[in-house]
Amino acid sequence: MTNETIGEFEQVVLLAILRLKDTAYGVSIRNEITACTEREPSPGSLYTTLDRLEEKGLVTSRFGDPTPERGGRAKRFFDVTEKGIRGVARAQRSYQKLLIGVELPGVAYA
Amino acid sequence: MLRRVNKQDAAEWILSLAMPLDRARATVGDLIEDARGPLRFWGGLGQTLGGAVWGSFRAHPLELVGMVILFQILHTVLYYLTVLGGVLVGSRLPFLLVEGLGAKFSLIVLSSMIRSVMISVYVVLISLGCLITFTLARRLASRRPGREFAAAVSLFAFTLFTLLLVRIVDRLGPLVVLVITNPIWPIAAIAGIVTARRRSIEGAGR
Repeated sequence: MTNETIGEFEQVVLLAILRLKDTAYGVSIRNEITACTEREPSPGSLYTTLDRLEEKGLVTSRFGDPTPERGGRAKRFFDVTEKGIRGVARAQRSYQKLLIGVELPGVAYA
Repeated sequence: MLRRVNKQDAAEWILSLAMPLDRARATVGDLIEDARGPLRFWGGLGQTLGGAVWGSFRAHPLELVGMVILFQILHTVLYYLTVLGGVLVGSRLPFLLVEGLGAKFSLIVLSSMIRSVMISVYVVLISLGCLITFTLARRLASRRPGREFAAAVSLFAFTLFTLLLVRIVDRLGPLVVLVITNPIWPIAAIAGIVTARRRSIEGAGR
C-alpha cells in the first residue's frame, strides 16, 4: 500500500492542502489550485478526489465551527497524513528524475 | 430570505442522498461561500452530486449490485405470491403464469364476484409488497449513509432493464416470469431509499 499510485490531480490537491496548512477546506483548496495551475477544478471532481484521498488514508478531515456566512454550516478542513506526504514526495521525485536531461521552456529543475 | 434558506436546505437534502449528512452540510456551505449566482450554485451542486454518485459506483460496486440482486429476489418472491394469491381464488395457475404477467383478469372468464375477490386479493398483496419493499429499502439505506442515490439509480436502471427485457422476450412465455418484477415495487424501494433517515458519518468510520 505504501507504493500506491497517486494520480496527477490527486497530487495537485495534496500539494494545495500542504500549501494551505491549517486553512485547507473546499473553497480555499479550489482557489489555491486555480491560482497556481490556472485551471479551475469542478466542485464534483474536487470533492470526489478529496473523498478518495481520505479513503486511501492520504488525508484526514475534521469539521470546524459553523459560520454565518456559510448559512451556519461548518467547514470541512483537510490535513495531509504522513502517508500522503510520503506518497506525494515519491511522485515528485519521480517527476524530477524524469526531468533530468530534459529541457522544457520555463521549467527549472535541480 | 425564506426562499434562500429553503434553497440551501433543499440542496443539503439532495446532496445527503449521495454523501453523509455532515459532509453534505459542509459542501453546501462551500457552495454558498463560493457561489456567484444561482446558476453556479446549482451547477456546482449537480457536479458534486454526479461526482459523489459516480464515486459510490466506483468504490462500492459489489454492494450496489448485491442490493439490486436482493431486491430482485424479493420482488420475484412477492410476484409469485401475488400470482398465487390470485390463483388460489381463481384456480387458473398455468394461464396466469403464461398470460397474466400483470394478472390480466379481464381475459379470464370468471363470475364478477370471484373476479372482484381476486382483484381485492391482488391489490392487498401488491400493497403488502410495497410496504415490505419500502421498509426493507429504508433500513438498508440508513445503514449505508451517503449511498442512497447510487442505490436508487442502480435499482431504477435494473427495473428499466427488466421491463425492456420483458418487452423484448415476452414470446418466451413462462420463462419471462423468472425475471419479472412489478414496476410498483422498485418505485416503493426507491421511495424507501430516498426517505431513509439522513445520517452523519463523523465518528462512525466509513
